[in-house]
Amino acid sequence: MLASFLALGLIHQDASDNELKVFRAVFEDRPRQLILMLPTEGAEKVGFVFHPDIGTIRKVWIGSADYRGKVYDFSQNNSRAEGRVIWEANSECLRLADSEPSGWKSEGVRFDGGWRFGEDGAWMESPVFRYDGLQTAYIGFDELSQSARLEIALIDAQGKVGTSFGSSMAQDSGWQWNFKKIPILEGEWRLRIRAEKAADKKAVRNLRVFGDFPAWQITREGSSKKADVRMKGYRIHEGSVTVITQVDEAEVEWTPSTDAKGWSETFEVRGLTGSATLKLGRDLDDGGLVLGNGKREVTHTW
Amino acid sequence: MVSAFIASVLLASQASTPGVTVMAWQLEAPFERVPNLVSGQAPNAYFVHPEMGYAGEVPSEYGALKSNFYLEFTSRVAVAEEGRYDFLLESNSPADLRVQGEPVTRTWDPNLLLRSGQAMGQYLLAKGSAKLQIRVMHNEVPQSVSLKWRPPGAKEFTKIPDRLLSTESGQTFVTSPGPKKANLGKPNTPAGDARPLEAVHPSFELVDFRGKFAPAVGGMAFLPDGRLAVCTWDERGAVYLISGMDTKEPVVKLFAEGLGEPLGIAYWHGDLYVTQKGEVTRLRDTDSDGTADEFMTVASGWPVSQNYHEFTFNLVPFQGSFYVTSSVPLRSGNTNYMPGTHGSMPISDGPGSWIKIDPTSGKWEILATGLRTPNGMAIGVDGEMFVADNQGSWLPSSVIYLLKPGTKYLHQETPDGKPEPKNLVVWFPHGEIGNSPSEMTLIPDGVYRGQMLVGDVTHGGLKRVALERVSGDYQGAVFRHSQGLEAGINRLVWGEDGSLIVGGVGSNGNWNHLGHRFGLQRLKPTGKVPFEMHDLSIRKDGFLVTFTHPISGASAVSLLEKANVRQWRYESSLSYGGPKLDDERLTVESVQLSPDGKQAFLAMGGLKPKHVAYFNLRGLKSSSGMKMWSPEAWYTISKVPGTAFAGFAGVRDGAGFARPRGAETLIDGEGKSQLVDAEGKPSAWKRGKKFVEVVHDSAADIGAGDAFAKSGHSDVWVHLEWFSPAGGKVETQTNGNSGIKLQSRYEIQIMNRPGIPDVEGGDTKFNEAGSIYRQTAPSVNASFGAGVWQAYDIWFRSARWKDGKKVENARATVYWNGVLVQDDQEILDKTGLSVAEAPGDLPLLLQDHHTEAEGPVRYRNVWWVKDPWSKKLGPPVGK
Repeated sequence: MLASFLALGLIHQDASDNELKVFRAVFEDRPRQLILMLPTEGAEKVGFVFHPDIGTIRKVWIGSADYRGKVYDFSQNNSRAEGRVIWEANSECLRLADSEPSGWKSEGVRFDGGWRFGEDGAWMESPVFRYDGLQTAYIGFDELSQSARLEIALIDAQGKVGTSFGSSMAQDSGWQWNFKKIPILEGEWRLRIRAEKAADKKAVRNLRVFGDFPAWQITREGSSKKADVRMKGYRIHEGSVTVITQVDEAEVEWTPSTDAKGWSETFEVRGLTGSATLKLGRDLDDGGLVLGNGKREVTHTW
Repeated sequence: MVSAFIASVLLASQASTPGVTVMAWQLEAPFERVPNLVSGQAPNAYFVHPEMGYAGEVPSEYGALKSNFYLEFTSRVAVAEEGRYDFLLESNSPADLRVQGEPVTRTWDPNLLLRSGQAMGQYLLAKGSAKLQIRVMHNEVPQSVSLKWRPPGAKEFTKIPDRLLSTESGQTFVTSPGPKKANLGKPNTPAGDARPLEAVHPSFELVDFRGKFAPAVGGMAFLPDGRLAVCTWDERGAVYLISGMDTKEPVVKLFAEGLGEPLGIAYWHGDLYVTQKGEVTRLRDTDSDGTADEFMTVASGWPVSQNYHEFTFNLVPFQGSFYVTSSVPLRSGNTNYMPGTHGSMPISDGPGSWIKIDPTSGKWEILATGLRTPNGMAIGVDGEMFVADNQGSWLPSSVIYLLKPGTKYLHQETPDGKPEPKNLVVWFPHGEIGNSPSEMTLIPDGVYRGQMLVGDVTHGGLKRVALERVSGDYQGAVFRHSQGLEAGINRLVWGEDGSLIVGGVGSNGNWNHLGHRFGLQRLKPTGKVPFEMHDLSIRKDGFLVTFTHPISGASAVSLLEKANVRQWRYESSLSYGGPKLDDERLTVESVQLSPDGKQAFLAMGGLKPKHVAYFNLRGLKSSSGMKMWSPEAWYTISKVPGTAFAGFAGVRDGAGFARPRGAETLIDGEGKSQLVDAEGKPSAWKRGKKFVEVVHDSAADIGAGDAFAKSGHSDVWVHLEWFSPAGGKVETQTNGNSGIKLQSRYEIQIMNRPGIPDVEGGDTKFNEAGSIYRQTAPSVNASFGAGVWQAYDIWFRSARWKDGKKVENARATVYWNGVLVQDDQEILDKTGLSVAEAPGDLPLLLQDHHTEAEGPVRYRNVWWVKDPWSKKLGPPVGK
């Protein structure tokens, strides 16, 4: 239960207090995330990031949070987990390393704190990759923005552009983060970054293609399909929180808990008809977690 | 006092970035010292710069700033060692330096100069960091400005290393084009006149009740039991319930927390609902312990990203549905989410939408797109929905739109040409009357009932909007209404007792009002109504202005010269905000006053659709002498109606009668005269700017003589406009004395006061304005007063003669400022020292008379129509 009267202090000051904290935030590049921070006796809090779009958690960590954003530190950044990551869902399909990227091709580009495009027409091109398993996809990168614009494009084997957009030029002097939600395109693609005009100060780093893989499937009479997911809400009761999600025809209540040995999650499923089952396909669950109607507890040791 | 201590003060360290924040304002004129900016004006340029100084022109989105611009550099410097620091400010322009908000040195003070262009000062700095601010005024040519320091123990001044300088991270660089206002010392105009108001509107009494509760208000709603629910746009994301607001000790209780940037709240069918980023949520206290324990998602799924600027605003329950709005991502600062380059949103142009939600099923639909930062909705007087949107890309200035399903409003996520405004109701010219309009509310009662109040987060205070329908569509005026509140206003809600609760919010950079970031106050009605414009209504040929109190006649006439009316237009483009285009002055051609004095029609030509008309009626007073609360209004002309003003029933034109076809001009409206002196030479009276004035040396009592028409007349309608300045003595008839003599014989007196028996023991009742000199006083006082333009319309019927003998006296019907004051009055004989009566025509004359008033009497628009009765142009009343 929340303190019924006014608990002074701030959410992000409470790493050492002993209360459950539940809050919504833009967290690690995703909006509407539900963050649960469970007190653990004699230890730091355990944090869970529940993603409403996939109907399950995508990260578990021990520690606190680095609270960033307009309502925290006035910045345009968003908040992040701070501490030891216990588990995090795989969400990247491509990443450009800061040096000697394996399989990438380039011309007129060098690395100096970021990849710099110092010649007319300088370009970088990734190896082939797929991302059509994602249900939502983004391209994200940091850029130094006070000079020329870059073209970011997904191209197929014939060089045909699947989708493209321009990077930005902003008034700020530091590194800027840029992201773009992109359409889900079937097949194999390469990512191309190109500067039409030379701009030695134009630099890119931390480039990646990322998103969310769907987590739930419903199986009926031997046939499985991706389940529709809609987070219905959450309840806070006597120091614990239960998140309710509609997964296809079923309602799933998920309640996490922690102790000195590890963390647990209890699933309570209602509404499945016939022999239908749900499968939660997180890479946390070693081949997936099959659930029927009823309650089931899953434990994870530290 | 608030019983529960709730400090919602932001304790997180503010994010910083290397460098210096630079803002630059293009000013209207040069200044010899660093001026004070009129508040509420966004800079023309705004960026982060690596060092504390700058040289040359300043680039901006609207063109480089080259001269007459003012710059502010703000940064924090890391201080490694406590001690006395010397600072050297170098600039040939007026510049000053403040450290920790305190003045340290300035270049225009000779006492502080080390040598020309170098001003020195010192400050005792503690270890840590210190705020530095340079302000500089570049006049003729852009000069340079720089700052050096000499830390404790150092021998030489050196540049402050860039690595020690930092400024706020994550600023949204809100700018706007056009010249900005500033002043030296005291402002040039009263508060509310070309600058923001400073006080609370007299119809309200300000009540501070929040105690130490310091909410950044994201939404407010009253519960049926009288408690006020407040959600906070802060790190806590809370909902508080406040009870006992009428008592000295209101109680504030936390009901819920952990909501993501809640910006709307509503009580509906027994539950509280909150809008958070990308979601509407129902809050329930299922165990009745006073706090919410169930947070159920009512609706979500509309386009929203991690961009800081994708807010979900408002929560308006209406006819069984909920309505919210969403804003677009921004590309400024360190978020470069580019508009116009994505094709992946589930709904084209999804961000920036008006969204309808079924609160039972959770289904939602986007009703309209093209909004930008629609932080405020209201249901208007006719049950239609309006939204306030904020200036930025594609939106040259802030607006109110009428919300209509299917509309694509001005903002463009995927540009497809030059957007035209649709269902646009009111523009808020940026920096003048609004920068970031927020919640609107219909005024339920009182003088302004049916109008709307609008908050503003960065311009602060409340604006009042009065709408009308023209050809079926809304358009109207916005007025300054109130300031004097503790923060920029984000949310408004009316209480049962008629109080308006105002909730404030603010953020970093210039996303706040005067640096304030939270606020909650109550405005209790007082019943007082200040003197101000109530509304404006457009006609084909001008504007009908309605006032809250009758205006003085003198004031009404003064509008002819003093009213500042302009019009301009805007164009939508990708640039952040837009300039005024085709800005031009409109001439008030005449003023007509209603019988009750509460309305004035300002006739003016050239009104253009898709323009904003600006009014400043500076100097206008009520008939009881009240000054205007604010003389300004901004009327959005979407359409110009085809109907001309029909006139006020039962009264005449306050500036006299309209000129009929065929009238002959004696003095025109530009000061050109056809009058001659007694010898037939052109009159030596002085031509002024749009008038002619009598020439008379009062000290020597020698004048240029009377001025005559070139021809004589018999029956005639004469129209003349005259100006008799204040001053002089009534007793000696030197108070702005002149006169018009018909046939050079019969004088209608011109003087700065009316001919009424108000001089004790005197016989001046025949001698003053409106009188047939020393024969008949005017029947009523129709004067507009001294020092203002007035009008006579005189129908003169000459004496009739037979065989050299007078058989009928001359007669005159006189309208004074449109009011009948001599009704077919018989004139018994010549007046005063005039030509004796005799048969035959003589010319009209205007009198050169000794005066001790503050200046000479002036004339303009003098014309006549001879033999008017035969032309069916006799007086409308009288014979």
